[in-house]
Amino acid sequence: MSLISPLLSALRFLLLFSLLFCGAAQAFTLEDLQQQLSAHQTVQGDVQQRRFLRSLEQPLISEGTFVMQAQKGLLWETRSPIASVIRITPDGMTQKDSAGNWQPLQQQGAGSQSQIRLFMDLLAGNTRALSGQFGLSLQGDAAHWTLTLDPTSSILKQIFQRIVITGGQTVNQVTLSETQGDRTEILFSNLRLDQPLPADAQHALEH
Amino acid sequence: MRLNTERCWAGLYALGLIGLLVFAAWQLAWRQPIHTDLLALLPPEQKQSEIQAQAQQAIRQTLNRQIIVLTSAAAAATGLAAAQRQAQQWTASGLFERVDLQVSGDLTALRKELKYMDQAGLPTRAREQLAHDPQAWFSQRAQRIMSPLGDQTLIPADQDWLGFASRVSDKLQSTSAVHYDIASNTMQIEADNRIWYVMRAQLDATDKRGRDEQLLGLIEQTRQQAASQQVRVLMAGGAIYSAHGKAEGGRESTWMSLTGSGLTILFLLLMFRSPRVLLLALPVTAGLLAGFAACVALLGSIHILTLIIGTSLVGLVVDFPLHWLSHATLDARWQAREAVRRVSRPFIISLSVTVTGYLFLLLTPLPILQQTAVFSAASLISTFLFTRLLLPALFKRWQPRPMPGLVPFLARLLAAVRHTGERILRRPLLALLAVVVLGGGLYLINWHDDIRNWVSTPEPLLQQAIQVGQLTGIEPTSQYFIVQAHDEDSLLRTEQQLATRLDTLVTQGHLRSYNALSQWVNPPGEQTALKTTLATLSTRPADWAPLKALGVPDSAVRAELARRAQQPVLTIDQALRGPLAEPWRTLWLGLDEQGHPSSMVTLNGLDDPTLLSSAIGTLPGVTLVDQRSHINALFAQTRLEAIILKLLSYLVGFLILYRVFTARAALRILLVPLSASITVMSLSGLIGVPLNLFCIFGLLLVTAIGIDYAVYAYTPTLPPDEKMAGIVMTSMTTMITFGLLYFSSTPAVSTFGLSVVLGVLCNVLYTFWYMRTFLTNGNPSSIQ
Repeated sequence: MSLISPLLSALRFLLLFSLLFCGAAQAFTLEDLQQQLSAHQTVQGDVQQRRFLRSLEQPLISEGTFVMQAQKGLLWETRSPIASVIRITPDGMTQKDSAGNWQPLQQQGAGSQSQIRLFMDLLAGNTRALSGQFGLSLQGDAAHWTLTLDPTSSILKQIFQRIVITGGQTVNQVTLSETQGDRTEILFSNLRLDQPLPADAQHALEH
Repeated sequence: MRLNTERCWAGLYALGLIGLLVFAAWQLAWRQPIHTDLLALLPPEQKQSEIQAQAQQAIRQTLNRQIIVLTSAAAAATGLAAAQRQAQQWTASGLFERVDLQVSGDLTALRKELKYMDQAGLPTRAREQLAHDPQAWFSQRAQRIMSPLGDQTLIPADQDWLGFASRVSDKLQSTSAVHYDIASNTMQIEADNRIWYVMRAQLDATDKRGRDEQLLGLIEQTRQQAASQQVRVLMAGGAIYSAHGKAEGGRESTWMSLTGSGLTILFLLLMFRSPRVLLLALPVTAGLLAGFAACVALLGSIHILTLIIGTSLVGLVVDFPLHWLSHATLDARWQAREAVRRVSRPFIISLSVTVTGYLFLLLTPLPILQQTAVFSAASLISTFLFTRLLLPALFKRWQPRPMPGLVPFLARLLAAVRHTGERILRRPLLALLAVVVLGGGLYLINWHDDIRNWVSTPEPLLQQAIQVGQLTGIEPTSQYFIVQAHDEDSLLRTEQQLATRLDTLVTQGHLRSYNALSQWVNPPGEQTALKTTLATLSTRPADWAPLKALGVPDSAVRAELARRAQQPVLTIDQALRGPLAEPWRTLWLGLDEQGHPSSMVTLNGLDDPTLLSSAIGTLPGVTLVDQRSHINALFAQTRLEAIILKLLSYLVGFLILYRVFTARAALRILLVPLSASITVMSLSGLIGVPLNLFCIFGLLLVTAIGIDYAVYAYTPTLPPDEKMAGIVMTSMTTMITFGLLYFSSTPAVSTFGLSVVLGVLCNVLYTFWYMRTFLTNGNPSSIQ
C-alpha cells in the first residue's frame, strides 16, 4: 500500500515540470522547449500561490521565492503567511526546521529514490517519463502561449481535471484544476535566468 | 455343500467389489477426494485451541491463493512489455480472481475509506503530538497546506483541516520495497540497478478440476516466453508448489507403479513360466481398490502421499496369492482349490496379526498414518478374500510348470543362513562383536523429523521463492503471535505492547517488519481520548491560529473539530471493512463464544527465530506460535506413540499367536519381525540415515511381513520347499516395489522405502534362521 503517497507527489512533479518552460518563448515544439531549458544553469524568481477551495469564498494565498539550479536541485521558500523552506536535491526532499537543520519531508521509504530521479530528470528537461500519463497540447504564439496537460491514466484522471501553463517571454501562470473541484494557481514573476544565486541558496543546494 | 457356501461367499464378495468400484468412481467423478495440501497431513491438535486453528487456516488461505510474479529485463521498457503481456495471458487464463500489474485503483473508494479511518487509525505519536503541542501541529499543517511540495492528500484540505488523512496515508506507505511508479502506473522494485515489475495474481477460491495442470502450463509458458526474450521472471506462491507437488507425485506414483508392476510381472513370468500368473494383478487391484475406497469412505479423503505409499503395497498384498501359488513352482500336481485351503489357516493368522497392528496405527493422531493404516488393512483383507474366494476358480485348469533348480537354490540359501548363524553362535567373540556392532548402531540412531522432508520442492522453485522474498521484502515466518483479551480495547493495547518489543527487534535488524491490527486501528479507549482532545481544542481557537493566518475561517475549523468529536468509535470489525484494510483483515480472528476477541501478529523476515521468546518475554494474553518447531515436536511425540503402539501390537500379536499355537511358538514367530526391526534401526544408525516417522511406519510394515513369513514358515502342514519358495518369492516382489520408493524425490518416502527393503531382507534371513528346523525336510517337532 505504498501507493498513495507517491501518487500524490505526482502533483509536486507537475508543478516543477512547469518550470522547464521558463524562457521558452521562441520555441513551439516540446523538443525545442526542452533543449532551451537545458541551456539554463539557473532559474530564480518570485511566486504567488492561490488555492481556491470549494468551501471557502476567499482563496488561501501564500507568497515566496524559488531558486533552481541544473543538476543540483530546487529551493522553494515561502515567506508569508508562514515561513518555510523546502529543498529538493538528488539526496532527497527536505525541509528546514526551526533550528535551521534539514529534515526529511517524508518517510524515506522505497521508491523515494526513483521519485527523486524522476524529478531530477524533469528538471533536466526529460519529460518522457510523464508523457505517457498526460496528453500535451501547445497553442498560441511566442508572446502568448498555452500548454495544456490532460491526464490520460485512470489514476491521474481521478486527481486532475487538467493542468494549464501559460506564458510569454517566461512562464506566467500554472493552473491545476482538481477533479474534486479545487483549483491551485501559481503565478510567477520577476524570473531571472542564469543569474548568480544568493550565497545562502547556493550553500543550501551544495550541501 | 461346502462348495456351494464358498460360491455364495464368492458371489457376495464379487458384489461388494463392484460396489467399491462404483463408490470409487463416484467419488472421483463428483468430488476431489485426493488431497495434496501438505498441511492437511498434520495432526489435528488437541492442545491447539480453536483460535489457533483458525489462525492457521487464515495463514494457509493467503499463502495458497496468492502468486507473485516479478519481471525484469536489461532495459526497463522490455521488462514492462513482457510484464504486460504476461498480465494479459494470466487474466485470459480465467484461473484467477484478479491479476494486478497496472494499478487501476478506484480513488473514490480510497478517499472514502481514508476519511472513514483517519481518526480511528491516527498513529499514536500523532495523537500525542496533537494533544501536547497543538500549536506546532497546526503550524505544520498550515505549512503543508500551502507548500507546493508539501504533503498533498487525496482528501481536499477543506475536508480535513486537521490533516489526519495524510497521517494515515503516510502510515500506509509501508516499509516494503515495492513502490508505485507513476510513469508506468505499476508497482515495482528496484534492486541491483534493475527494475522488477510486480504482478500479483489471486487464484479463484473455487478449486476447479484441472486447475493445477492449467496453472503449471501457464507458468511454463511464461517461463519459456521470458527465456526466449532474455527477460528474467521470478514466480512464487503456495499454489505453484502444491500444483507441482501434485503433478510430481502423480508422475512418480505412475512410473513407480508401472516399473514395479513391470518388474514384478517379469519376475513372476520367470518363476512360473506361464502367462496365467498375470491374473495375480486381479487380487492386487481388488486390494488397492478396497484400500482407496475404505480410506475415502472412513476418513473422507486420501492424501497423495498415502496413495504413493499405498501403491507400494502391491508388493505386500501380492504375498497371499504368491504363497498360494508358490508350490506350483515345485510340483506339477498342484491343485488350485486344494492349495488355497491348505494356506488359508496361516493366511488368516498372519492377516489378523497384521491388521491388528494396522488398527493400532489408527490411534496415532497423524492423518497420514491413519490413512495408510485404513488403506493397508482394507487392501490386505480384500486381497485375501479375492485370493481365497475368486482366484482358485481362475486357476482351475491351469497346468503348472515347476521351475527346475529352485529347490537346490533354496536349499543352498537355507544352508548358508544356517551355517553363518551357527558359526556366530559357536564363536563367542564373533557373537559379541555382532552384538556390539548392533548395539553401536542402535546407539548411533538419529531421530529426526522435519516437515520439509515430506515435500520435494525442486531447487529452482525454492531459489525463486527466496529471491522473491528478498526482493519484495515479504518473507513470512512460520512463527507468529496470537493475542487474546477480554475486550477489543485490551486486545489492541496488548498488541501495542507487543509491537513496542517487536520494534526493538526491527531496530536491531533482526526482524524486517510485522503486521498487527493495532497498526491499522487504535484501541477504543484511545479513540475516545482523541475525541476528548478534539472537544477541548474546539474551545481554544488560539491553538489553530496558524490556519487562521492562512485565511481559514475559524468557523470552518470549529465545525470540523465538532464533527470529529462526534464521530463514533470504530470497532475492529468496522475498521476492517474497506479495501485498504486488506493486509490486516486476515489478522482478525473475531470473538469466541464468550465474546472474547483474539488476533494474530505475523512476522516478516526474521533472521533468528530463537530470539523471539527472549526478546518478547511474557505478556499476558500473548502466545508465541512456532508452527514449524511445533509440528516437528508433534512428530517426535507421534513417533513415540507409534513405537509404543508397535510394542503393544506385538503384545496383541503374541496373544493371538498364543491362542492359535503355543506360547513358545508365538515367541519364536515374533522374534523374526522383532529382530528384523532392531537390525534395521541399528543399520540406519550405522550408515547414518536419520530415522523419522516414516521409518517407524516402514518398520510396522516390516513387522507385518515378518509375522507373515514366520507364521507361514512355522505351519507344519506345508512342505518345507513350498514354504521357502513362497517366502523367497514374496520377499522378491516386496523388495522390488519398495526398492523403487527409495528413488522417490520426497525424502520421507525414500527413507520409508529403504527401511522396508532392509527390513524384508532381514525378515527372510531371520525366518530362515529361527525357523530352520521347520524349513528342513524331516520331523519338525523334534526341536520343539
